[in-house]
Amino acid sequence: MTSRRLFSALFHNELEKIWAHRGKVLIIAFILIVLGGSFIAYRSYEGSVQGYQSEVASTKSQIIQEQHQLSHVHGSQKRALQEQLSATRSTLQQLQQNSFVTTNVSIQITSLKKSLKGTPPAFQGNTREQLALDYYRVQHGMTQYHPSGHGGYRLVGQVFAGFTTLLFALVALGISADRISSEIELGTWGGLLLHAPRRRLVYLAKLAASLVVTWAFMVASALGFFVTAGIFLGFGNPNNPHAVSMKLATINHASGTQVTIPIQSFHLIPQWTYDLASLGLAMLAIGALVSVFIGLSMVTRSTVFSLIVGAVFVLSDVFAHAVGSLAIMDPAVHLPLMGDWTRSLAMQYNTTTLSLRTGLAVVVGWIGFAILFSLGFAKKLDL
Amino acid sequence: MDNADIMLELNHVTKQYGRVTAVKDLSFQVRRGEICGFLGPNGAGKTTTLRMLLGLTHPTSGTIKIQGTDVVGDTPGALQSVGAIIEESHFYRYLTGEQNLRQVLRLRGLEINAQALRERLDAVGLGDAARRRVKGYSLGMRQRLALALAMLQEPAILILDEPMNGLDPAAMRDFRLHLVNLSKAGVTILLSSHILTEVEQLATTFVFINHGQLVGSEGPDSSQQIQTLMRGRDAARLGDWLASQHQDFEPVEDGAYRVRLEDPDDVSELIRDAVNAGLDLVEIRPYATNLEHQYLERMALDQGGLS
Repeated sequence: MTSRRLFSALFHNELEKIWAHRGKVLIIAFILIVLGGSFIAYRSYEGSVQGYQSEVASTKSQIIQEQHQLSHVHGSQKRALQEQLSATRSTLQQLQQNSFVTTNVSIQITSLKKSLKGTPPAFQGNTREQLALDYYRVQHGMTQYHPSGHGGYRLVGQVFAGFTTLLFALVALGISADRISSEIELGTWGGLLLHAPRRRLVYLAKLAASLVVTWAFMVASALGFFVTAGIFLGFGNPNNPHAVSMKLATINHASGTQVTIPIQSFHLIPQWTYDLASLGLAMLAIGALVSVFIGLSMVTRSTVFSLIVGAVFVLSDVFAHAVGSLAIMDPAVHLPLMGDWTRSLAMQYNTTTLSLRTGLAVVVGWIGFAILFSLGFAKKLDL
Repeated sequence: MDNADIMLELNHVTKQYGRVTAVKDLSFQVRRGEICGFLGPNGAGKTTTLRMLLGLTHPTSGTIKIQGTDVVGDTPGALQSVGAIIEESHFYRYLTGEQNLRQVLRLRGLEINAQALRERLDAVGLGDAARRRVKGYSLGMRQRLALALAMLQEPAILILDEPMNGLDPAAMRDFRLHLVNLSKAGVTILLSSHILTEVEQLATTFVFINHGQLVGSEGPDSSQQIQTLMRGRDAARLGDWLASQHQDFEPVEDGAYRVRLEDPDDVSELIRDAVNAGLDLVEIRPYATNLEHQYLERMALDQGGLS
């Protein structure tokens, strides 16, 4: 039997085993993650709308109160109150013009330009980024947009560019941590090698099947988020822009601490590109973890042990801050690899070193290390 | 028989796990169509030997060949026509019996339609349980599934480790008949089992191991030999005399020797010569050759129980 045919048979067998062993759990996890994520997004949207409505109501009530007070004061007090009333009316007008559901782009540009004048050049990065995003919107015919970015398109990007990717890392752990250890524990490893006596091919087929199932789960979840959020919140605008590859600088803040801020941000991508890139990059980062998990499963020969070590590995980014710049080497830090591209991870970890290039280098490095090590180890993996 | 008939061959095979030697300098051969009983107590190294034969673990030194192909050098080639049941049969408990067989069919590149597969399962009495998950199978059902699996590709060599564990008497009888028929059809069988009566009824040759070492073997011709037990008042003198007569003999019990003779007439001649040589014989009788006796004798010899 040729290597290719044997690999194909092993791969087919692995898919059958994963489906028979983990199929129900994966379906339940899929429903929980998609419905749970969409529900949380919906609640957040509802909360924001209620917050906006309550702010409008409170401003209106303040105007009534100030109008009532105006008839009871005289002289300089009256003038001061009139000025205050005028400001409150202006706030209400601004709130109603720039409502929660539709931010008016041209009003925002005017406001941002004003704010830029009073900001020192070193701190203008964020405002300039906002301005660049608004000019992009104008160029693409968007006169208003959804400031909180709710909807199907936005939710997909939010999930795969944020630390919610942790959920998918845990699903990947559940799929791959027992791929080899359970064969040894169940006593099926001997039978498997008897019929497919090429340990490296067996390992590669297990890796490929785990990756395919994990990635299929992620793609299905992305579609699930898109459709579910689309039904309840609308799909949103696929062209809403995002800034990536910003240049960052670490500066001394007035408080005495050092902060990393953007100083230039003119690389803009539309929402649909952002979504696809987030998903693709998250799949690559989770792929690195799958490679590590299968290696762990082979080295430890114990499902419980590889689950524990794998879970610690996934959650290691929680403690990553404690090791300073070494945290960059932790693949769990790069789970939302999109965060490297948008430089949000760099700002979060307060270092300009974190970029898409370093993130990719770390993730690909871990994949290479895990696969090469496992191929070497698999060769001598006896009963 | 020529070398082409050698189906399994171990040459000076040693397997060490750290400082522990599981198998030491083990050599034996199994020829085409033989049913070889592979016997030894628990921990003797039987399973390690079978694992090495199946390429599941590699020997520290020595060579293992199946039909002339080196198992370490070309495991897939060597195992091409080998079916096996290793230890307690392990299957994917969450797959059905049929799915477990299909997994192996895919790996072997065999095409069998659903009807033929069902017939294979029917043949071992698992037709009705084919679509049940293996986790619901009894030990006997799992052994029968293991047999169906070992026979899936009509192997030239069967390596069976305790294949009758968990089988009821009727299933054991069917299994035995099945193996005899396979042997008649030219299939070579290496059978490791604790059930000596079963092995005795089946095997044509025997290999005994203890402490990882070969402690004896019985060829296919040994059953046709005349075996006589001789006990002398002076065991050492009797031993020296048998050696001087170039007899095929070995010590078996305290002061007694088993002597193998080619012809029944040789027995009276042996007695006459011994008496003429002035030996004081206290017991001469046909030597009991049942397998249990031989087994216990070999193990006792290996333990140094005989002088």
